[in-house]
Amino acid sequence: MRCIATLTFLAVLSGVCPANAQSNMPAHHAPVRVIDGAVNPELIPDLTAYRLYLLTISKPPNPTDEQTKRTDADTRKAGLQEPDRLSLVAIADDFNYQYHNMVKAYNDAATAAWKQGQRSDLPAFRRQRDQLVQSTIDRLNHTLTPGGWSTFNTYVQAEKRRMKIAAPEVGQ
Amino acid sequence: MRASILSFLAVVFLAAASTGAAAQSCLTISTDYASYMSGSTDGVNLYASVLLDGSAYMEVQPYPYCEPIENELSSVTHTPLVGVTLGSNNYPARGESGCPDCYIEAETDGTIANATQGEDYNCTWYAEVDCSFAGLIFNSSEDGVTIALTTTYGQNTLGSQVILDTRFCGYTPACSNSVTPTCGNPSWTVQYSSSEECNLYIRNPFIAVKVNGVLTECVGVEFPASGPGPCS
Repeated sequence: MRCIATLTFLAVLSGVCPANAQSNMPAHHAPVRVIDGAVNPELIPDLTAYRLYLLTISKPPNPTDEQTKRTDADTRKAGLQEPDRLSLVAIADDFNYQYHNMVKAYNDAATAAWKQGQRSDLPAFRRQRDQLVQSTIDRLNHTLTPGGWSTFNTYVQAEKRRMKIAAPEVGQ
Repeated sequence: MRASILSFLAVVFLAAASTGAAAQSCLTISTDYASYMSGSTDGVNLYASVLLDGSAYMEVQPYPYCEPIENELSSVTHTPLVGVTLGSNNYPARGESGCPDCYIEAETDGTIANATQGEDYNCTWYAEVDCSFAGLIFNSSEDGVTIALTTTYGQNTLGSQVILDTRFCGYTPACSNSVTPTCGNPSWTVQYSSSEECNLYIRNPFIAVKVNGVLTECVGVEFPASGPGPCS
């Protein structure tokens, strides 16, 4: 009988306690699901791959010598002829400038909204970000020679093996 | 009879417990974080960079028992953390923390200056996002990877072929030592403009990537050379 009473108590307790359990969430939880481009490169979207690549090879305004050397090393291995490589560097630097301006404007607004208990339109920002990436891809496609564009696109697709992205949703 | 009652109550308990587990899903987090590790060489130094960027959307379910979480979220921040280890050197970096709706980014650059030809350097990296409320909400990493600077001298013994505006020149190793080159063996292709001729000899430094000791990738940059040279 004591056993039945214990089970009944536990059953009731488990229905009552969720709020308490939730307010004491652990600081860390199980590893988040990640898509590994080395295993599933087809699951890395092109827009994500180009964004990561362009941000990695591009320089901020007034770069240091070290940043310039890295950009040279990063872009030379793409196998482009020199005029195409120089076009890539210029377009990537322009992307970098626009991208970070866009992010800063969004973050300033998001931070101010959050302090007032309001949400910002993150989906709209993500669309705006992806539009900038797409327009930069289009610009590269039209600026590089046909052979250069083909080489570059093949290279970025292959670089997906070094990319990892979050799986769409994490629930807690 | 007693056994039946116990079984029934156990089912009730399990059902209630599973309802409780479902009720605990107060917080939904959708993220679009992405990370990229890039390695390169200029023929002298080895470079590696790790980039992380993206955002998260956190949503508290509109249940009364979720209100404490809603209140806690006002002070929550997300912080991007990246790091790369090259050889025995660590290059960690911490990006600027932002509000849960903010877009965050972090990057780190590592260098092995004057890399020793043919030496495998450990290259491990991580990229993660720490939520001050929920812990790690993104965590990617890679280990078991080594990178090496290798060089192969080449001779244009395989002619060339022009496709569109590109000339593809075929090279075979032209080593002045008895080493079997790590990359460019038995042959490789270098691209030039269709208006250019192939260089007869080239020096081609490669970054050789090994995963768990197995060569998986050779990516190089070529320079004109006057003849054969030492390979590694």
